[in-house]
Amino acid sequence: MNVVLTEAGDLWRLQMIGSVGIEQVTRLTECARTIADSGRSADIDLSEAVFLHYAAVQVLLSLKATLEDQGQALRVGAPCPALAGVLNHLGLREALGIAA
Amino acid sequence: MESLSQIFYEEASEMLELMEQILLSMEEGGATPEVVNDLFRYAHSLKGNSAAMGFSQISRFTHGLENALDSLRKGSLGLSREMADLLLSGVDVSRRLVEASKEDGDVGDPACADILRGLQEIIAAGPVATAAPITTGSVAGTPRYRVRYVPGPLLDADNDPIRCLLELTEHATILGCRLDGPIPPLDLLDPFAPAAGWDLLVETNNDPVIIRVLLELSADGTHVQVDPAEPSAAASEAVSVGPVEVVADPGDEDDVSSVAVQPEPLAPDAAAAPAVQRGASQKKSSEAQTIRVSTDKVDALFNLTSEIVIAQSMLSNAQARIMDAEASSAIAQMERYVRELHERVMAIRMIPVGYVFNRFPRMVRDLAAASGKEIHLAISGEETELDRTLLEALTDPLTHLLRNSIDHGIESPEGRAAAGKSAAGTVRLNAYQAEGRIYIEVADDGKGIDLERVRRKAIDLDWIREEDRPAPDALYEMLFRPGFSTAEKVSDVSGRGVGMDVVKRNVEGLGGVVATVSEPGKGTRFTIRVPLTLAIMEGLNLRVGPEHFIVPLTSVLEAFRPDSVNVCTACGANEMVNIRGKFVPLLRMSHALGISSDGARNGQDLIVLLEQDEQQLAIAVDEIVGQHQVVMKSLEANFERVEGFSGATILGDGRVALIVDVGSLLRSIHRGVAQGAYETAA
Repeated sequence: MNVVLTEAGDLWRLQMIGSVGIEQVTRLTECARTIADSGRSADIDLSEAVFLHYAAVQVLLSLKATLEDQGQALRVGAPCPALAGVLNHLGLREALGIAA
Repeated sequence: MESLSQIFYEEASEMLELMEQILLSMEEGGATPEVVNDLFRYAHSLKGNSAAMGFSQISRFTHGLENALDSLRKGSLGLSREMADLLLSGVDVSRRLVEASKEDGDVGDPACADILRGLQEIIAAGPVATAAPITTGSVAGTPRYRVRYVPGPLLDADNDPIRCLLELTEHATILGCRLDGPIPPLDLLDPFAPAAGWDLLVETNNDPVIIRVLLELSADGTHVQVDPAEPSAAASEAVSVGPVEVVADPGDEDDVSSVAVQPEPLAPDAAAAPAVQRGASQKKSSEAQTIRVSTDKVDALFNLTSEIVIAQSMLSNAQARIMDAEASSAIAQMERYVRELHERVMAIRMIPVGYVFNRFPRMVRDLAAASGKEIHLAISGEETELDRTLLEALTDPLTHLLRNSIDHGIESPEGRAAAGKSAAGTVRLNAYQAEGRIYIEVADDGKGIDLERVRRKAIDLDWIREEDRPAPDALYEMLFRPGFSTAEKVSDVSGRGVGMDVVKRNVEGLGGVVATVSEPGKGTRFTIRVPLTLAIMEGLNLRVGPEHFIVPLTSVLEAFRPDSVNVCTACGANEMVNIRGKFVPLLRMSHALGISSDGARNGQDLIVLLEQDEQQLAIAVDEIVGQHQVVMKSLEANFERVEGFSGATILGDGRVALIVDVGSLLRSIHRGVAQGAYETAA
């Protein structure tokens, strides 16, 4: 399971592990919709993710936009250096709101 | 365009062969990062080249292979047997696609989808790699381009803009990159459709078409627009991105990608150049040391120099009659140069046997798997050089000998265990040069040849009688007769009774021989022996009456004038020479060819003792004219096949001399012996 959704108090914690390919995007979308439907903020843990298919990034960006529309927040934790490099280089780190 | 496509096909063939070799070596534990990188690079180059040629089917398929290889390159996946099978099949299918493109253009292959699906399943099941670090840096004067990239409408495993952009970084430096529009909220999002395109600012010395090709390859419907932008004035210049937002983060010093926006001062020495660029220049430098020349051109050059050798020989001959010292010196010098020129051109035709040997690991691997055996192929001597024409002609015989060893030689793992052997059998392929000839051995550590089974089979085929007990060598010889097979069941590998006879015929057609040595329970070794080249040889010029003949110098043992008591007649017809107590068949060339000879007239025969395959033959001639380097001309191509002669040459005086095929003469003599014509007692 590369996409794990858990509840941590009032927050959702969405963890991604290893390579999140196109095959995991349906599951990720379901998790994102669960979070969005709950109206609660979420933390995204990318510390164990090594690669994200662009479709997965797009779902996260969409979730971020959705939660911000609801007045909630999506916080994305620091990815591993290799993934951080990719996201940074392609302009996606800032779009996801990942702190430097 | 024709030469471009020729280059494409040559390179594609080489790259696919190298990919196959690398995959096989990786299976044997040779998966170093450099090797895996090479593998990836070949797939990558094939993809790019085929795209440039307009072969989208090949480029799409190799793109899929490349994705799988990327997982290997990043170290997240090891090369499992299953993955190796799929990748090797991928190489096979790529070959088919490349081959088909010659006639049919851009056609697909139904196997492509299955292979790619299988690879995707393996990748999805296993842990996946960390992303490769991105190295970037702006270099003064490098052309820049603004790129508008709209991914294809369906995101899938191939159509991943992130991967595509990372791939682009191998050919261009991405200075700026951003999504060109907002991503909609979840209720409006189709997760499998790209919601936005990308704006890029890139810098590259490559042809900008590579940018479009790389990005468009990922999926149908991808739109890419590339427009020139102002190049940077200097590397120290801050990256100017114009309307494209630079979003790379310069603050993260641990992040290699931050180099992209942390311009460095231009270093004055080459060491400061980006690694990729240094690599490219090194490659260019090494490439400049070799050029591709078609074999037709080399052959034409060789034929021309052969004619010069003959003309030179004629000139020397004419000069000998003139007896002019000054001309003699000049001609002698010219003769040396001509000989060196000829040798150097000959050397161009010589290629390492590894070119053919390298085809066999794959074949052995697949045949071993098909026959349920474990077989290790040990190759040695692959650097041994052989004339290209000979080497090509040896490919089929070697293929069959290897197949024979796998099918008939090596036992099943159970059979080997029962014989106290390791489960994995070994087939050895070895080449070496000795005595001016090339030897190629195919040996196995299998069960050896069952001579009694061979004898029984020969009886069944009415080749021998029940009570006959032929010597081992005679039984080995039967293996090479048409229609012989001791295999109890016909397999796909061998055992149809065809092939070994072709091996023998082909090798003998090259002036070579095949020798067999076998030991029950320990294995069998076939040794092919062929001349270094078919094109030129050192020969002894022999005269019989008005005719001249050439005998290969390697076959000549000695020459002498016999006493009449040394020559005797066997069975009242065939003559033999007593050479130090050993009786050797004597062939009078004048009798055999119906030529009147001086020796026959005056009783002053000159005997030349020949040997091949440890068998001797004496021939009677009138005179040894001299030793020459002769250029061999095919009889079949210029006249017709003549029994007992392997070819012809043009002598210095312009006369044509036949070249004696010693093996053929020996065989005809021994056929006579087998028929009882000769008493062989010494």
